Amino acid sequence: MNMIQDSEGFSIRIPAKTQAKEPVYIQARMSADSPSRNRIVVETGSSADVVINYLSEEVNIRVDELTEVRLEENASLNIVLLQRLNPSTHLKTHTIVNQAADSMMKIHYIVLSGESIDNRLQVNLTGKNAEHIAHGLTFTEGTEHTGNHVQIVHAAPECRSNQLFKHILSGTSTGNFIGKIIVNKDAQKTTAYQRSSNILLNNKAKMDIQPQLEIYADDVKCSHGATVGQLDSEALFYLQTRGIDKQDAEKILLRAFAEETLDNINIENVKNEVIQYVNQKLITS
Amino acid sequence: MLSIRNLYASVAGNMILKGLNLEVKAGEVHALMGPNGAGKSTLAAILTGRDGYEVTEGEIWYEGSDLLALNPAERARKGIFLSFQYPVEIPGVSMANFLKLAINEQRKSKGLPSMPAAEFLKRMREKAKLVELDSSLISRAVNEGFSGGEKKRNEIFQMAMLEPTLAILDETDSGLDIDALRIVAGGVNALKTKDNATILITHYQRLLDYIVPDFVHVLAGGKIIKSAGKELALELEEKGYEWLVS
Repeated sequence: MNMIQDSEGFSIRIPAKTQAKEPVYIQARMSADSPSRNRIVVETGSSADVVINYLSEEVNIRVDELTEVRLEENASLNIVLLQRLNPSTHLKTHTIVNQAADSMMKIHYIVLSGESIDNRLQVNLTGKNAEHIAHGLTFTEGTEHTGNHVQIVHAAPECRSNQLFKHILSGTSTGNFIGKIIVNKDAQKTTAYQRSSNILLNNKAKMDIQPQLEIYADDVKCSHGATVGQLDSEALFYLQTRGIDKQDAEKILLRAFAEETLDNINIENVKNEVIQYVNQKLITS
Repeated sequence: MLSIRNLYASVAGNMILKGLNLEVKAGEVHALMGPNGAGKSTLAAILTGRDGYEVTEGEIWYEGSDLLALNPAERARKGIFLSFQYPVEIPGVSMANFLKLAINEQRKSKGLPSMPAAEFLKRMREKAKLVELDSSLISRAVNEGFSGGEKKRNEIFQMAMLEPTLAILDETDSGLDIDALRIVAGGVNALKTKDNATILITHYQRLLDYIVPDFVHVLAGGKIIKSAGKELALELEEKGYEWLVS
């Protein structure tokens, strides 16, 4: 494995037929006006796990980041983006993914804090039988804003994609999810799912959802769904009648709501770490 | 144990309970019957502290405390249990974790340490057997994918786990076939002691063949209009409510 990280970004290359044993753990410490360009290449038959831990200590910084990801045939990549930023930070990430035949990628966006975060993900499934799973869990509070903007292009037949994004919003925070699925004319036997579920903890927070489907092939399985709501008041009452305080009951239900976005992070230590951060977020929020 | 005095309560501006009185003592089973809309479920909601119900007059005393001053969780920790008419499915929350927390919250409020894991598991197994609840259900999320009968048995299972002082069973018999009814009733009877009490809210006399009440009350028009022994239920089954209401 080759790995370079400097002030301009990082570059990771997993040579052909290599199974990286340990996850690559990148501490992305952001400083004022430090745009970065990153590159991840997983060559034929190889696999890797990558964690990008975004941290910002300085106040009022704005960072734009571009990451190019290339998966060659039969390559596999799990990537977790953990965003715990200073509450005054503005971050834009743009991830462009190209996946060849039989490749498999999972990406998890875990957004816990930051004044304004925009995560764009653009995926091109260019080879047959490729699979892409994009999951996101976002907490926003105060005046924070997070946008998740996903576009998945099925350019080859028999590919599968699955988008699942959840936001938990409090304060006057806002969020948006724009999820686009494009199925090209010859991308027959495509399976593409998309779902966005969101909980507003008060009536001042706002969530905007735009599912967009462009389907030009005829033999496809596609679905999309979007919900915005509050915690289930019946479930909340049920837990209380068993002696659990309302605040704790709310946290239990939020944790249960989040679970689905976390349970297929299959880098074990990283999953535990993410769960710890999520639990912490629930305790302090 | 429970003393309800001259209770008036409204929901969304509609007065539902109009001067209800009820005394429940330890060791007693009370059946609360009455036509639809009489206020039976409203009473259960008020006793457990559900949002949206306003008590405009009267008082409720429970074990020496002003019940209406307590929130739902505090009431539960003091031993009040509601078996829901429509138990809620809570995906993502496992039965075991949920019950462990419920039991330990109750213990904490009594100054007791958390229940040791082995004791908890043993109690789960014993109590599940009591209501013939399949152990695979206990490893699932709360009520998720349970059949109607399984949900009702799960309510009694939870009651067995929590050992309440006052159990309110809100139409626990509705939607149960005769076998499930026998199991549920068997569970309730097995949990009966001289120190606890049960309020059965029901439409039908059927349940009372299995759980024999000490008192039967008819609730109509927002108050109790007749109270008698168990024989009243049979009379109601035969004659309906009209002869009392009119």
